Amino acid sequence: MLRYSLRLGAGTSLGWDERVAEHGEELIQVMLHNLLWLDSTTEPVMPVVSDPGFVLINEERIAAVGRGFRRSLKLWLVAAGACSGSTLELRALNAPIYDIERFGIQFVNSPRHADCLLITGPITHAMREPLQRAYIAVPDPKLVIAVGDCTLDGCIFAGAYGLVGSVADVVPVDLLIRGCPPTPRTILNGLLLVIGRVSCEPSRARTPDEGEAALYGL
Amino acid sequence: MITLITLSVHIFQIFLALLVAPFLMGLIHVVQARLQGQRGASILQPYFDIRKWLVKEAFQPMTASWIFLLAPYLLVATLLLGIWLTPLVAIAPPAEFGGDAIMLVYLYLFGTLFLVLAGFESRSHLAILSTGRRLVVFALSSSVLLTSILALALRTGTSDLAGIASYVHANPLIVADPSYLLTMTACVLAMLAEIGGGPLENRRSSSALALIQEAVVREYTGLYLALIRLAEALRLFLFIGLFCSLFLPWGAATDLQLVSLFWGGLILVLKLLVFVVALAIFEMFTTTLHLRHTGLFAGVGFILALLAMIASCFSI
Amino acid sequence: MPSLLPDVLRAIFLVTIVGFASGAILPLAMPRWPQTSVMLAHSLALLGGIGALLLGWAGLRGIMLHIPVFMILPDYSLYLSLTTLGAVFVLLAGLVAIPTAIYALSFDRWSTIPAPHRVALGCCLNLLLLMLTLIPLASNALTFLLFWQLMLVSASILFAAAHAAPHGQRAGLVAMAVGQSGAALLLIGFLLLAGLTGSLDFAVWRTSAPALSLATRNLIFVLFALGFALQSIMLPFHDALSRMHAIEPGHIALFFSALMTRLGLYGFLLIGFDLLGSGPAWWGMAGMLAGAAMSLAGLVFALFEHSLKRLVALVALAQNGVALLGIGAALLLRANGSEAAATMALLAALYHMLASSFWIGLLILGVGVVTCATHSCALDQLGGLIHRMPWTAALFLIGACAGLPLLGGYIGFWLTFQALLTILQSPSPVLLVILVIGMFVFSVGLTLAVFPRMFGLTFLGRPRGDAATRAREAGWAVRIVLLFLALIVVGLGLLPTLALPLFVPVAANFLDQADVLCMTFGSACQIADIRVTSAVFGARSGLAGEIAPLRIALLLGFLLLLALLAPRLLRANRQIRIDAAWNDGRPDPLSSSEAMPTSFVEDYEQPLLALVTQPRLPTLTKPPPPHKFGPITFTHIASRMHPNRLVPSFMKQSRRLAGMLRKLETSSVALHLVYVLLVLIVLLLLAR
Repeated sequence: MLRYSLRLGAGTSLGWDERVAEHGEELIQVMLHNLLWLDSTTEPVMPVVSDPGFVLINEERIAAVGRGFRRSLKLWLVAAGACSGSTLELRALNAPIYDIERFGIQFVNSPRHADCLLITGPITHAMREPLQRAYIAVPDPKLVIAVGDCTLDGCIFAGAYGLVGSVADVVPVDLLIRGCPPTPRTILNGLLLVIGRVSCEPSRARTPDEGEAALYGL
Repeated sequence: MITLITLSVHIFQIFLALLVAPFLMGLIHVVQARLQGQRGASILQPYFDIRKWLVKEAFQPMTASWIFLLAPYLLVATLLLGIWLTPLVAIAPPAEFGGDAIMLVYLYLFGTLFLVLAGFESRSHLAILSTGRRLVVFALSSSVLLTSILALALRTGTSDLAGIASYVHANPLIVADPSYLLTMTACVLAMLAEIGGGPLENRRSSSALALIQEAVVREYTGLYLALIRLAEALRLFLFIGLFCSLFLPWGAATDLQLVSLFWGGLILVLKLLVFVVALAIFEMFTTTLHLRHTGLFAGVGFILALLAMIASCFSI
Repeated sequence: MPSLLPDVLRAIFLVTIVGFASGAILPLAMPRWPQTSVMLAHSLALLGGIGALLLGWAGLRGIMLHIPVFMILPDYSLYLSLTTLGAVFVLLAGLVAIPTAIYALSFDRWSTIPAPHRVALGCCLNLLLLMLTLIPLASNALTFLLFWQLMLVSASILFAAAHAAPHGQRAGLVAMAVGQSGAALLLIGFLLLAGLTGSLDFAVWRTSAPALSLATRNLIFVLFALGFALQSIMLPFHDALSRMHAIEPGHIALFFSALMTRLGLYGFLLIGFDLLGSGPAWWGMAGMLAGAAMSLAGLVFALFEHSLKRLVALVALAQNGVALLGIGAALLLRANGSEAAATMALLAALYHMLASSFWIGLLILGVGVVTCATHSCALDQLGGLIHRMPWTAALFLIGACAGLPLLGGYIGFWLTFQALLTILQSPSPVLLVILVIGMFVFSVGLTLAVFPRMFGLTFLGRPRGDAATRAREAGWAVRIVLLFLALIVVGLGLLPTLALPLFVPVAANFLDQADVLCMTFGSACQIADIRVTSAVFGARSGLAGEIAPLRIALLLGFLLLLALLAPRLLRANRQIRIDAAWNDGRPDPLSSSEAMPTSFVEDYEQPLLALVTQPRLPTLTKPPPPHKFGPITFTHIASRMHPNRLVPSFMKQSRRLAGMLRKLETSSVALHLVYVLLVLIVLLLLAR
């Protein structure tokens, strides 16, 4: 429990400031470079992911659908009872350092315009139906990505009376991004993996069975 | 008579629009991202988006009818018609465009009206809320646009688009004319309101409550959304093109020689690029107005256009 | 053959008159069979309507007809003659009578009106039609005034028959009072003119009235203009008129807006162009200002209106304003000496009048169908009717879009714009004309907000009332009437050059260069485009304006086809999933919580008010109780703006005046003799 709360604190309140302190110089450099049009390439930051930090739950679907979103992926975020930790990290993706839009990934304001459902937070009973509706509202072909450990088992909220349990009981999830909260870099890697812009190291990638097991075992 | 070469000029304009328009949208986003210190999406992003939406499934709300399905097609068709009728590449007298400025405004409204009706059909709270707002903006901005075009028609003595363009082309000194400047300002205000970014709406806001045009099309997906995005790009193309051909027609071909048409097309694209970059920078540095101030915004445009009319009465 | 023509025309005239007159009398003769009487009345109205149509057509082709009807004395006889100007309105009467009669014949679901009332309605309708055909034919003051009075009286009876509810009666009373006030002004005007020229005959006035002094003519013009304006515009009293339009059977409402109020325009044309000769420019300017103000006011009030019927009625009144604007422009241009441009303005007004009779007719009959199907015309109760009544919805949409290009209403707008631009190129009160242009443009812009709101709230979305969920499509005959009207609206928009030359003889009567314009229209007839060349107006050079609706329509159709085929060519995914709308994850909302007219009013009101005042929040009339959920009431400016209060005060004053007059009448012979003596003394003094 202590471990979780520490991580929670690191993710939400301290995380951003720390990162700014750490990357402050980088941030300014990046912004200046972008403003002055100095960059020469639009390749992703990390061509090969070494530490995935995520669980591939439905690899076939990702393989079948994800390539179609290679140059254009629209995200619709559902905070299904989240403490806002993961949500804040997601928001950081829009900032100049991670700059998610250069990969053609964008947050939109209607699920009808989206290709991918991002779910954060432990799923509460109140959000169960809205989440299902949101899943139905996204037009096919679509992907579902759960962000944060708490979507899986509730994490520090585990066992609370208001929780449904696992997100997989509510909607079919394709990818789980681990962490409480996951860092923006992990999320970005997950998204890039889904759309086929980076490849996973074969040894580290888990099979669907392992994914299922990981999902329900935790 | 419509000769073969005139016809090919029209068709060339249509193709140019279909080719260039999404690129302009991409350029707006890239320039804005750069100004925010980001690298931003690829300049070809609108093309990628449209291609992707063509494979996704479309959706129709249960209460919607044929109007919902027809509206995007009609919108694209009316905008293409507007591009067909506007003398963009050439303002040569033999090229009979048959475009009347007053009618062009109304033709554009034809498609938009159907889109608004589709907003009524979509039946989600926010879509309907923004439909009401869209109607207000629509009524006000179309009045301003029409008044400014009437003022220009009065100044140049014709409401024919090619006629206005050739008049301005032949009288470069008109740029120092107060009526011309006032009309231009009013026209810019009206077009800003219609283009759907700028001071009335933050296109990239993720809060659907703050949206006007973007929320009207909230229920469209797939093929229909692709059409609507294409239509937004075409609208940008048409409005900037119309603005260039009415107020800054210099550089457009004055005869139907192949070389001059080529230069006309090139200069048109250059003008479009300059204006799109200017629009992006302007949007970047303006805050969004409150909806209640839409009227003031339009009112300023309206007064300016009426002043332009008075000025042109005295400068004839 | 040519000698036979007047006889044929006379026969047509007789058929028309006999048709309407017998339609008014015969049904009363058989009270036993109300159903048959109603059928008979409307069949006869149909017959009369066809006659009136032919008569009007013949009149516009330039065939004259003079019919002395009833001789009392050589000077005081009823005298009818067919002029080109009158023919326009006879044609209109016929054009409106035909769909009205078919609609009434096929309309079998008048559940709210008892059979005797229906017989009375049918009779009054015929009587009114008779009067509306005869008034434009009247060629002396006596005839005109007699028929005018009869028209007002039959309209009141019609109104009383249609409306049993007290508030309806009251609206009828107000309309009657307004009409009679107008008639009183007309009477004074006619007497003045008769006294000054020494004749009651219009033909004599035409020659001798232009010789009168300017001040006299101004006075007469003001009297007539006010009198006719009360009939056709009724600016402060439009509320009563819109109530009057909102009566139950749709076709009667059509009648009021498409014909009765139009007669005011006829009077305005008669007095401005025909009888008084060429007047000063301010006549036209006044007409333009009144027209523009009316069209703007009508649409602003329509924007805030919650009842479908009154909304359409207000839009119809606004169209009268547009026509009046055109007539005013024509008067002004004639006074300035640019006759060809005046012709264009006049044609614009007449064309708009013709086209708007059809599309307003389409709207009004459509509203009638909706009202019958749902028993409600409150926008709050409607919605979602497009699924239950697809035909009505599609045809209604054509009526609602009529102001846009390619449809009938647009040609009038376009020609009016061109005429207004021409006015500014000649010496004129620039600021006032620009004010008029501003109001006109804004009212056209408002039309674009009014119609989607009207159509969207009525036909789209989901039904908000129980009745709307059970609505049934109208019968096939009604649908055919609507289709017929819609086809005419489309036809008038696509082929304006077929109908425009029809009105050229009217203009040629009063204006010199009309035939030049006629040639311009004629030459372009093949490709159905209108060219307004500045050569005609003597402006600088080149083309002043050109529209080619048919060509544009074909092009639009082609591009639409291309857009429809493109997904097929690009192999797009054309699968469509039908599902509930996305409501932010909430279940399907209650039907009462979706788009309500009131929510739209709020959206309109604030930005529009911001044009004139500082934008501000709606005021809370009753603050909500603290820490409790409860209804919150807001006050809208629009509800305060409505000039409802004007009508009661007008009624009160007129009633007081009537009371005072009644005191003079004591049924004492002696007093009457005293009156006679007094009148004699006054007359003698005047005669001296």
